[in-house]
Amino acid sequence: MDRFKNAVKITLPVFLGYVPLGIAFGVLLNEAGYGFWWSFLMAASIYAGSMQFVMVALLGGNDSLVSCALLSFLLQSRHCFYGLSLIDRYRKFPLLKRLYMIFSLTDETYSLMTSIQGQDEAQDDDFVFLISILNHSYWVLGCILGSLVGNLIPFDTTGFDFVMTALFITIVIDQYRNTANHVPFWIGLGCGLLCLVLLGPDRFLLAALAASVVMLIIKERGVHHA
Amino acid sequence: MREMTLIVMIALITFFCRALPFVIFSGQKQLPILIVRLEKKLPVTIMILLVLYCVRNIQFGSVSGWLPLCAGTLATVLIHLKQKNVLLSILAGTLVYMLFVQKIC
Repeated sequence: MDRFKNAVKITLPVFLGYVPLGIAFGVLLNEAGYGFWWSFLMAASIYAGSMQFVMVALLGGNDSLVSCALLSFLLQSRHCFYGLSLIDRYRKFPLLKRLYMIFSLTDETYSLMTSIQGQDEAQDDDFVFLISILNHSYWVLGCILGSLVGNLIPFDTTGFDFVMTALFITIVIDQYRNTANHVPFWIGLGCGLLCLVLLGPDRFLLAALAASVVMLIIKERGVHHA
Repeated sequence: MREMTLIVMIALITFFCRALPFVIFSGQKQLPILIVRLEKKLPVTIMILLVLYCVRNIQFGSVSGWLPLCAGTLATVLIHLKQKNVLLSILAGTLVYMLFVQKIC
């Protein structure tokens, strides 16, 4: 029970982010003419915030399947990088559980996985699995709530989506404080800002991820040979 | 039917992207030394990029394009540096951001 309580506590920021975001998605999908079951199906099987929002437009559109596939691949390819730091950790799970953990590796789940690194809890398989399941259920809950009662929210929630940004900021600060080597942080910030200025907000992320990984590799090799 | 195909297809593509690194290194008992070293360094790099991703639509043309984001970010950072309480920092930062978006800008 302690384990469950701890998992709820650590995933609470994600709950606060996923439920309103899911509600917004459900409302939008409703307005596009797709009700409860569609919302549930997409939340359960795709489980990716920004992709699902884009899909609201794709569902009713006339784009070819090939161009939809390409678009979704470009949008989702940032996820290719997350697994790189969890390969060994996820190996300890039996196959079915491992597949689920990989399926549910969203930005937010990844950020929690890295935020517990180095703590005792990170070694507890059930705890790590619980984080994945809880986050997924928050997202599904939000999406179906949006479909069912989304239009009934009485107060102005504009700006509440900042919780995700704030969660990521606190994780970066904690990681920065807990490591002696700050080069990876500055490589990320430098590549990120440079790519943002050069490529613009819609296209910078993938280039920045790739550039950062290449620079980290080059640096590692340098250290290795010295 | 098109909708169903689309959902299944995008679900598979999303899973494929998430699974790619696990598939590439699944056969190896011992991970390449380079990956082992990257494992420890990559998280903070990715997290700072995700922060940038969240604030990517910042615009300096009008006050409302940058002030709420800067105020929210600054509040989150300062409170977290002082208090080290994740939930408090998140809620306070979000409150500041909402205040600026809704009432000030």
